[in-house]
Amino acid sequence: MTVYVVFFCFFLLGATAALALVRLLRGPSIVDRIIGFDLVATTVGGMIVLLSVWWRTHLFIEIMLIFSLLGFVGTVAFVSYLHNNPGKFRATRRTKNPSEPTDP
Amino acid sequence: MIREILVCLLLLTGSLLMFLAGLGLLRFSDALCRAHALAKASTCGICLLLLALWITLNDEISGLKIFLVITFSFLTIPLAGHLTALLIYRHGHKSPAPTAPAETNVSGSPHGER
Repeated sequence: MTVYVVFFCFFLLGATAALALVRLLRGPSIVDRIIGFDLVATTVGGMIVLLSVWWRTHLFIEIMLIFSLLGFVGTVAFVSYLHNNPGKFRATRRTKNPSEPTDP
Repeated sequence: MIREILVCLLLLTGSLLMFLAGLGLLRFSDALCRAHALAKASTCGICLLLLALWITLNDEISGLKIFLVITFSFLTIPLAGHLTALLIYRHGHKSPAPTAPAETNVSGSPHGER
């Protein structure tokens, strides 16, 4: 019974990763792409947990810890870069609305 | 048997919460709403999956490491969501919705007065 539940949960997490990748591809601003990347990293961590439940092993917990740490550090790096350079953020916002006049 | 049913229930709930996070990320209209949907549902989903792994393994050392991972997830995922929401709140106030003109959206939204 657990095996079928694990298969169904793999399907759900794969659908989650696909939705996050769609948001990452067509996100209007750069923050949407950052959020989509964060959800993809969290979903891969959940897939590692599902694989560990399926095989009943404890060897993957450190891998999951390191992977979530890498996703968090990547998100914080992107966000702090945009905090320090808000011109990049506004530039990505402005390309979406062509009717707004662009100042030099 | 009871342990197996509990593991299945926790796995289904956690995966469904992660799927709801993805659905909210795709369907919500604003970047602030997307950050809100991601932070809560993703944290709760990954913690439920880790609780299912804890019940499956039934080991003290693994339980300690899983508790460490749960604490780390509770610390980091809302922190990343809060940082992205702060970035949107400080710098992204000119964000018109794709269906509404810019003036009505700025006057109508609660975070538009900044």
